[in-house]
Amino acid sequence: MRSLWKKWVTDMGNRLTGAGMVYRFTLQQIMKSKSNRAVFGILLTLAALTIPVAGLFLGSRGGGDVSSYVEVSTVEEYLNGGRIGFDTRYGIQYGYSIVAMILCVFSVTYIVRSIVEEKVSRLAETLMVSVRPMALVLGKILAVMTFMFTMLLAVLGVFGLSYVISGRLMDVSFVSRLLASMGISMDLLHLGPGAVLVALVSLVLADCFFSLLAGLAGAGCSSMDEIESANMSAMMAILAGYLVSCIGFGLSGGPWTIVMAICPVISAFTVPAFYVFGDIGMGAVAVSWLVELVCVLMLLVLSARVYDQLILYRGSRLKFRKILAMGTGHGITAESAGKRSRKEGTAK
Amino acid sequence: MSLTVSHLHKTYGEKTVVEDLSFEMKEPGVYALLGTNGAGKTTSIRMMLGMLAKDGGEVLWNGGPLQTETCNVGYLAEERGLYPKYSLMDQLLYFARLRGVPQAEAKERIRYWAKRLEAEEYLYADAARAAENPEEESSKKRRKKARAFRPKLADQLSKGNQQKIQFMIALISDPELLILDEPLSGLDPVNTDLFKGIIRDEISKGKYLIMSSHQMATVEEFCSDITILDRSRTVLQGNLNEIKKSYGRINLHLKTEKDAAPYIQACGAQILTEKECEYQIRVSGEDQANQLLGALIADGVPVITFDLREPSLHEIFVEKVGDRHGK
Repeated sequence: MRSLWKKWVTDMGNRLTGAGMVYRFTLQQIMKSKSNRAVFGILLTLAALTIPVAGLFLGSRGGGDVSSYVEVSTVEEYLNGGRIGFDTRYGIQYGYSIVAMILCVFSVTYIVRSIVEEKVSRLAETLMVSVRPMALVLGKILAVMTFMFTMLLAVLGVFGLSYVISGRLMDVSFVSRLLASMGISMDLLHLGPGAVLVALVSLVLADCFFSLLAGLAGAGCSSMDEIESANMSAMMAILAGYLVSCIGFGLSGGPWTIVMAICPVISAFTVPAFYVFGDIGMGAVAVSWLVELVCVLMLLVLSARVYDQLILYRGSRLKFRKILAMGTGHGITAESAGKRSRKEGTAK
Repeated sequence: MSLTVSHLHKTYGEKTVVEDLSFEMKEPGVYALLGTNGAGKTTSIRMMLGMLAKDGGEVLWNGGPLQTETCNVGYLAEERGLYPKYSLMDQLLYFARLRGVPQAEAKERIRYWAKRLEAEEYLYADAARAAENPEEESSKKRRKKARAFRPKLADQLSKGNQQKIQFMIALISDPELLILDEPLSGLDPVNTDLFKGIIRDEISKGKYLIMSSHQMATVEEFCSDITILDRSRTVLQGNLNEIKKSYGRINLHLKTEKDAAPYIQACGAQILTEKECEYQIRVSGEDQANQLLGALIADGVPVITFDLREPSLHEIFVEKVGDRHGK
C-alpha cells in the first residue's frame, strides 16, 4: 500500500514538473491583458467610491433624526424576535451565490479558451517537450485562481479602507442603518474572520473543482468553434449549483440543509451562508470541505489519466461521458471515443 | 552519445499505426524518417519524445531511457503554432525558461538567433526602426520611436516569419538532439536557404538530428541514414549511399542532336521520358549504357549529354512506396 502511494506521489510529481513556470507565464499574460486590467481597475474604483459617493447622498440625511427611520416587520417576525428573517437570509444567500458564480464562470471561461487556443494553435505539441499536459493545465488553473482571488481580496480591502477613511471625513452611519434595516446584525449572524475563512476556502475548492472540469471539457475540443459547447457543459454544472442553492434555500432546515452543505456542486454556494446563519457548525463545514477535496482529487486523478491523450487528440468534441470512460480504462482511447462520437453524430 | 530506437509499436484500437520501428544513431548526424502521409512518422516522433504512450519498444539515449528532463531536446513540430495574442519575446523567454535556460542567457540566445534568422525587426525596437527607415535620424526622433515600439504579436507575422520564431524556440536550449518535423515546408527559397544554413551549422557542431520530410532533395542533402515507412511498416532502411549503390547506376540522362529512340530501343533500354531529343532512360547497368553510347558514336549521332547515375532518393521512395500503393 505504502509503495503504491509512493509510486502515485512520484508519478504525480513528474506530471506536475513545470507547472510553476506555466503558472508564472499565464499570470503574467493575464495581468498584461488590457481588458483584465480594465475590469480590475473598474472594480477597485467602484469599491473605493461606493461609500463616499453614497455618503454624499445618504450620510447627512437624518444623521441624528432617528424618527425618520422605520423598521417594518411581519407579525411572525415580531413574534420570532431574535431570529434571522427570511429576507435577510435570502439576501445574503443570493448575494454570496452571485459572487461565487461570477468567480467560477470567469475561471471556467478563461481556462476553456486558453486550453482550446493552445490545442488549435498547435502549440500544445511544442509545449509538451518541456512540460506534461497535467502541469500545463494545473499551472493555468492556479494562475486564473490567483488573479480572481487577488481581485476579490483587493476589492474587499479597498472597500474596507474606503469605509475607514470615509468615516473620518464624513458621516457613514447610514451603512450600519442599512445593514440593520436588512436585518444583518453581528449579534444574530456569525460574521467575522471565521466566516471570511469559510467563504474563502469554500470558494477556492469550488473554483478548483469547476476549473478542473473546464480543463477536461476544453481538452476534449479540437477547434475554436467547440469552445461554446465546452463552456456550456462546465457552465451547466455551475448554474446547477447556483440554482439549487437559490431555490433549495427556501426549503433549508434539517436534513435538506445537510444535503445542500455536503453535495459537492451545491456546497460551494451554500456552506458559507449556512455557517453565517448558524445553521451548520464548523464540524459540518469541515465535512463539506473534505467531500469537495475528495472530488477535486478524483478529478485530478482522472485528468492525470486522460490529459496526455486529450491534448494531442484531434476530432469531434469528446463529451464528459467519453472522457470518464477513457479515465476508467476499458481500453478506450481518445481516438476510439472520437470515432464513436462521429458515428453517433452520423447516425443522428 | 547514441540514440537507439528499438521495436517501437503503437496501436489505436485494432489499427496499428507504428509497427516494430527500430533504428540507431551511433554518431552525430542527420537521420531521416520518410514516408507517405499517415505512415506513422509523427506518431513515432511523439512516442520517442514521451508525448504518446508506447504500446511496445523503447527509446534509449546514452543507454538510458530518453527523457526530455535529462536529454536536451529541441523539437520543431509539424503542427506548428504560437500564441496569437502574446508578444513574441514573452513567448521565446517562456519556452527558454521551460527548457531550463536562465533568463540572461536566453536573451543573448534570442538576440543571436533573431540575427541569424533575420527576425530582429519583430523583436527589437532598434531593428524595427532600422527596417522602417534605414537613413539616419536625429537621436530625439530615434528615442521617441523606440518608446513607441510595440512588440509584434504572432498573428501579425507571415507564416514564414512565424516559422522562424518556432525554429528559434526549437534551438533556444542549444539542444543535443534536434527533431525537425517537416522543417522547410512552406518556406520561400530565401528562407529555405537560411534554415538550411542553420541545419548545416548544427550538424557541424556535432548535434544529433532527426528529420522528417517529404522534400527528398533536402533529405539527400543532409541525411546519411534513412528509414522509409509506409502504412506503419518499415519498407527500407539503411545508409543512403549504400542503398543507392545497391541499385547500381541505372538512370541515364541522354541528350542528342538527332532522334536517338531507335538506338535506345535496339539496345533494350527503357525510355522513361522523352522531349525534343532529350531522354530519361532506365538501363540494366553500365554495360548496356556503354553499348548505347558506342552505337550512337558509331553512327555519328552527336551526343550533347550522357549522364549515367544512381537512382535519386525520390525514385527509390516512389519505387518502394508506390509498389505497395499499386502505382
